[in-house]
Amino acid sequence: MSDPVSKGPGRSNLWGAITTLILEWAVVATLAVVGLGISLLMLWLTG
Amino acid sequence: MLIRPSREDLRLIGYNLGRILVVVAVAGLVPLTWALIAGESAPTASFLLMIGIFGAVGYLMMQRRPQASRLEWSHGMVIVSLTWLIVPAIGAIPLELSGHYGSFIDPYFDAMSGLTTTGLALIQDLDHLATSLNFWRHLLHFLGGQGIVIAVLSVFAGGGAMTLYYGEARDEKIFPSVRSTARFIWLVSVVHGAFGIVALGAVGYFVLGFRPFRAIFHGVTVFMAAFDTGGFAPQSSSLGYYHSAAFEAVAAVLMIAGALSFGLHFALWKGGRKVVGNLEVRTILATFLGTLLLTLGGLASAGLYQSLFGLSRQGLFQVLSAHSGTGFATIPSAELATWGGLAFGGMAIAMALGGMASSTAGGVKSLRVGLTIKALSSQVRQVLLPEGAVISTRYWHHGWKQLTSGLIQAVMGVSLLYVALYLLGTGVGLMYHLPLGSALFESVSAGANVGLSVGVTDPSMPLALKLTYMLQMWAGRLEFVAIFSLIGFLFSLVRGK
Repeated sequence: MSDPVSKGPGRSNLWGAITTLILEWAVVATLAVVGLGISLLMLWLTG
Repeated sequence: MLIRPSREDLRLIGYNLGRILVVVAVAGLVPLTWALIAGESAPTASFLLMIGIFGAVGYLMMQRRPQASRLEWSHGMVIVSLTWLIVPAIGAIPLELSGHYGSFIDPYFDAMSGLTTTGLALIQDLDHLATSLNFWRHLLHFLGGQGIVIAVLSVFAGGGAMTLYYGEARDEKIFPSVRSTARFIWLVSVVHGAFGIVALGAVGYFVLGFRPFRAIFHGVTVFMAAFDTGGFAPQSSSLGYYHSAAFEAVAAVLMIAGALSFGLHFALWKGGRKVVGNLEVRTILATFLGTLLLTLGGLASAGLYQSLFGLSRQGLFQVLSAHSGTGFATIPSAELATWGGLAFGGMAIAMALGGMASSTAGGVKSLRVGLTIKALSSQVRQVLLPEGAVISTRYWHHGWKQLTSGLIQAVMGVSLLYVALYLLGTGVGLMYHLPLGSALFESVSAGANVGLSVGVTDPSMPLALKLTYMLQMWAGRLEFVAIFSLIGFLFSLVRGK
């Protein structure tokens, strides 16, 4: 297996880092929407 | 029969421990530089003293060079468990000299909490602490989260280096070489550090109106606490100080990144194929949604937050902080203590389960939870099938793996030890007449290295409770094996032949 770390942060590593960060933001955004949805449901259920 | 360790064993342990202390002495130059730049003279002197002690002790230990260079498993485990006792003891010196603590046990507690990425704190008047000392508290998170041993392995990787790596409760070797694995961990941290410090600093400067130095200070410290799932904050009111959804969102991204295993980071960097099928990813998503449902349901039924946005923002952030093992709070401890019933249960379960294995998070870990569920479902299938039928259970975790009885035993064993650890702190809390809920919450928070508090952790709490929480933080962070090895080693020193 090639070792991208020992070769240094090349273009593929940079792209991997950017996509990981975008994915982490997407997870937070999704959780915020899910949290809002569950809160709405709970407030409705509990009157 | 126990075999008494030889002089060569002691030299090997002492030499490698000394090497680690010298690396920590070098790390101490960072807060020293900060103190010099900020013009803080008293902290400058105390950092010089600390660096001197780290350097002198490390140098003296390295004087008896061993003949062999290869570390055995027992050596690695003993070195790691001693490192996690000695580093906070010496690292507590500048904190003690700051005048913000009572007895020496309080800064030792905070340094242990920092190094184990817990976040419980006994400091008094944090809001007036010198910035360099505040920076040092957060750097302890960074050193502990990244792993002091990882720092050492990045520089030296001698024979048997992997024993140190495993001793710090990391079991994923991403690359064949341990040094490459250590460097990948640093690379992930540097990328998230660059993003986190810039994003948090920008929110501080443009949204909150901080001056540039203050924005950088808050960016750096909160990044280290969030990415290393630590939980210390530069202000006593934790992240509630900022009153900013944008600041909380950036911190949430870093907390999630910190709770991911470095193996998963590597899989994502390489394109992220089959990440969704990973047993650990599926488990953490399921347990997170379950604990979020419990918490939000409990808060809604108690009527603590009437508005939709208030309920979802406070509930979601606190559950994320608990499940990732970070320990940031956007509400005061006194308010958290009012979360009873389902909300309390949701938070306690989220803290107990924790993040992913081989991440900076604590707790039982999602991989063990997922494997336990797999083992139970396998048992049920076995009962339902005709007698004599043989079933094979596989799971996807960076490749297909077989669920063996040996693996199930190991998973169950460590999970039970975590339950025992949580019960230990709860029992000691009950001895001091704490309410059951508070005793359990604080104990799980310490044992799972979370750092959320319902107000029990306080400079005035009994000494036995402080020592119990310190033991829980230490044992929870190292996942028991290294600690049992140290106990066995000490016993064989006395009783071995």
